Amino acid sequence: MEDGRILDLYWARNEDAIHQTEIAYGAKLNRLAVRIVENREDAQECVSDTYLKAWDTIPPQRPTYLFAYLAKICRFCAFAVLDWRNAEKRRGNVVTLTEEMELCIPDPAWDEHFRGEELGEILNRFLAGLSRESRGLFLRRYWYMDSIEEIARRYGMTPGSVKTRLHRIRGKLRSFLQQEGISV
Amino acid sequence: MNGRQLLEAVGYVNSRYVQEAETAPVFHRRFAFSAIAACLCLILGMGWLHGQRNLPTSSAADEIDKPVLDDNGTVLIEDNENCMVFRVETLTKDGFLGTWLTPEGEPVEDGTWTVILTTLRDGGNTPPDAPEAGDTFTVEVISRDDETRTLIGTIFSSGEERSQP
Repeated sequence: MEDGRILDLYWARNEDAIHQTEIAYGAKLNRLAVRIVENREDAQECVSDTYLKAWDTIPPQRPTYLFAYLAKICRFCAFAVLDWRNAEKRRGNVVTLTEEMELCIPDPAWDEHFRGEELGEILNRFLAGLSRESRGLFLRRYWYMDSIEEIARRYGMTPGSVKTRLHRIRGKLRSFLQQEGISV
Repeated sequence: MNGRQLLEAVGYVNSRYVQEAETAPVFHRRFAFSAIAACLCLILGMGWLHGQRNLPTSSAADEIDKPVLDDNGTVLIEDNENCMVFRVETLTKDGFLGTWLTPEGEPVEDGTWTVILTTLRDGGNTPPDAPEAGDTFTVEVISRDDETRTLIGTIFSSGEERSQP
């Protein structure tokens, strides 16, 4: 079913909206959650929470990109579940990605007041300056949390070149954040 | 600030970029098939046109009026309703890929439309390295909902466009 029709169901408060959402995007959302929490049951819980939050927020929201909207909710849910259930035990995939992101931070003490949405805005400006392909590589890695091999398959590149491209993008991000830190 | 916070902050980036990253691979997978299909259609179409020399090559372009290629490699296409700019981003041996933009440089509509533009010069089978005025092209516009529109036309130069009524 098209996004527009699914959204119409939400707006009509028709519970079939959730069923249709599950058919359209359930598998993708589940894969995204599994990558973060690395546990199928936790992932399923995240996806269920995502449907619930979508039901609560649409209407009044009517997202232009339904999947991106759902995936964003799912991603935040997954991080919350990760914090709640695994405070003492950090998950391997997130650890790896966290360490990669750490390399982009010019100074760990830098601008502690920047949080969530503000950082997101800064990242938006950074991403706007990248080519479409570079932006895709960055988001597949750090938004969708794809493995290097998955990204390589997707873009028809070798894992080595994906790593190189990501390394350069991280370098650019580091410089960009440094500039933002000075200018803000 | 730590890596985890930055990783979480990535979740706040523009949904358009997220959707773009999601749809891009579909675009790539479809490219080969669509390009081959577009080439076949063009070859058949050109053969048919060859037998009917009096027909203009842009006769099928109901929705395209004056496609224009400027010096920056940007193809400007006016359809019946909107003036849209096609920005060439990647040149391949099969044609070129890019994005539909408004004349102001904003992505058209929801920004998820992708375009395959294939040129064939003088009815030959080998597309040129870069589009030139006089090239016949097929534009296949694919939305994220898999809806496709195929538009056919001829690229005019900026000068020609300006001189046309």
